Amino acid sequence: MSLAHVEVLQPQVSTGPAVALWRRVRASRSGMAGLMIVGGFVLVAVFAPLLAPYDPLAGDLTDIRPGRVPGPSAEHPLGLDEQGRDELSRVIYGARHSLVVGVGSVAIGMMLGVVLGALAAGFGGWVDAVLMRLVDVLLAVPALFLAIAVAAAIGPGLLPATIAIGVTSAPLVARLLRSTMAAQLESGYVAAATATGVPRPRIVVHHVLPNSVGPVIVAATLGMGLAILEAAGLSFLGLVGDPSSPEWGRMLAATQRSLQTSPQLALFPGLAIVVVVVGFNLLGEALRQALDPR
Amino acid sequence: MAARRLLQLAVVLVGLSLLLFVWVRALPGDPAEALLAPADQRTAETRESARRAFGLDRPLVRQYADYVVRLARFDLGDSFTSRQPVTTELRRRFPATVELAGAALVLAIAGGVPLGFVAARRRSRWPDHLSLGASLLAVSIPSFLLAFLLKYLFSVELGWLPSTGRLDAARDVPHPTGFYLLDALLDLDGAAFLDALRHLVLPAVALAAAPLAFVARITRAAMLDVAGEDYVRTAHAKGLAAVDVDRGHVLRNALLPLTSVTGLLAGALLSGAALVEIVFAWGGLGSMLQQAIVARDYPALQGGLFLVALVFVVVNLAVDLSAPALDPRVREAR
Repeated sequence: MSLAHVEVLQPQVSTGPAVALWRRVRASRSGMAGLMIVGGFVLVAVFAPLLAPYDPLAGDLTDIRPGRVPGPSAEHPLGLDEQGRDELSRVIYGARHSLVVGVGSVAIGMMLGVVLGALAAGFGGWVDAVLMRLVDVLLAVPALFLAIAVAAAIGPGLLPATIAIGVTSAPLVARLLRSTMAAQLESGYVAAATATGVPRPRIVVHHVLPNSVGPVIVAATLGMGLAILEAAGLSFLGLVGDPSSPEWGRMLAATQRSLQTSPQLALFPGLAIVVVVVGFNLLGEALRQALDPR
Repeated sequence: MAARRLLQLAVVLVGLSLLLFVWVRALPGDPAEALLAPADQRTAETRESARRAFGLDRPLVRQYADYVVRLARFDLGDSFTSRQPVTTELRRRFPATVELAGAALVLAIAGGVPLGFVAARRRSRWPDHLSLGASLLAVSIPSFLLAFLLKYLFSVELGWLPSTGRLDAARDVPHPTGFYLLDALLDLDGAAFLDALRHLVLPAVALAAAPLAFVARITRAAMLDVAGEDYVRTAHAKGLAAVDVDRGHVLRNALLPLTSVTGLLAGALLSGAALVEIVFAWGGLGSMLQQAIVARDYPALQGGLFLVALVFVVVNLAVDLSAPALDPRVREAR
């Protein structure tokens, strides 16, 4: 009889929020499409050396004439660029740059933003006021110029661009987390915990913070897309790396002169950016709906 | 609340001036180096005299105090590169950027609100899906790529619209305000107005696409929120036509959250304009700031960024302060 009890109770054993979240994301068709795009993008970036048919930096100028590059062929499915480099290999390697900048900057932005937001919400009072005014100041400076300035300060390269984009995303994360945590601090379980004598720092770190990460996870996913867009903008301005490095934004900038004769050179890196950012946006939207079903 | 907000504004502006001052000086490289004659003609003395001429030899606190005092008088100093007052340069460039960003804002709202309205009315039907798909694409495409595509299609291939600049080079009109559309109107010059408008179309569309999608999504979400309210049911119950309820009751109330994001949108447009300006050789703040960073032109950089940030802060303040005028509920809550 007791065995029967256990069997009846078993389905009610909590599976944890992560599993529930995964079930809801899996139920969303667009969310799964986003996940597949993002997964494919990560795989391409990680296995770029195995996937790319040629060296993305080595060019063969024998077939290159001014203003005209060979289009797609059997050996080079996406054709050659102006330096005689294999376009497909460069687009594949470009995924690496985007992934590094995206993951790095989102990690930096999340760390800074979560610390700022949690301190502001946790302490309240003048700490909150000071930190939020700091956030206001940072928000008032256009992100792109802040990023340009950081990149100009440390010198052009992948790392400065990553830091710049990360720093500029921090104030929004801070504000988001603070408002979520402030709402949580008003809720019943906090009052209950306070009443039973749990110290406030413990309530904030162990109860309120974990309950407030949902919107931050959504922001991180959407932030990956934004970071890739911003990185493309910076590299379009020539602020990310050396001119030969295969970055999607830089590849687009390089085609400005040859747009009429070989538009395919602008098409593929552009398409790569759009598809990957669409993937992150679909996934982020599905996560948002899964966390806040309305 | 107004007094409190003004005090906050003052704090933010002081913080901003300090931030810009420190950060601009934290950029490596010395303006005296960047502007001096070729490297082989530089000596310790010429470098020193250049630093003295720019006032860079004085203590940082003095430099900041000077900067703030002059800032209060709208004197942004002289550009290191052009030797002209920064305000002169800004007066020429700022209207260009504002004209572009303003046109994009108008497009974003005029296009986004009807799109969101239709999507909410036809929820989960094809207009909604179409609007969602288009919005997704619009926020996922870099503005400069869209600018590229538009330029390629409409000026290079079809030749319908000009590809660069704000006016035909041959055209000469007086620019009392710097807003070319306004200048042409003041001059009663219809041809110049059309010309300026034709130059404005492509950059404005490229810049407006992502904000338009954003406005459409906000409008749709806000309308669906409002649609569940009791007064909407009442309006339906008393027999009003569905479209009248949606327009007069649902949309009207849904537009309130939209006003609060308009401030953020204005900031995004001002800074987002930079990349689009470069593609279309628009001659606005974007290219000025980019050049100022390269040349380590501290006054131009500080002045330009301060102006952009100031506009952003003031627009947001205006939005916050207008909320009670637009929404009686906000008035009562205070």
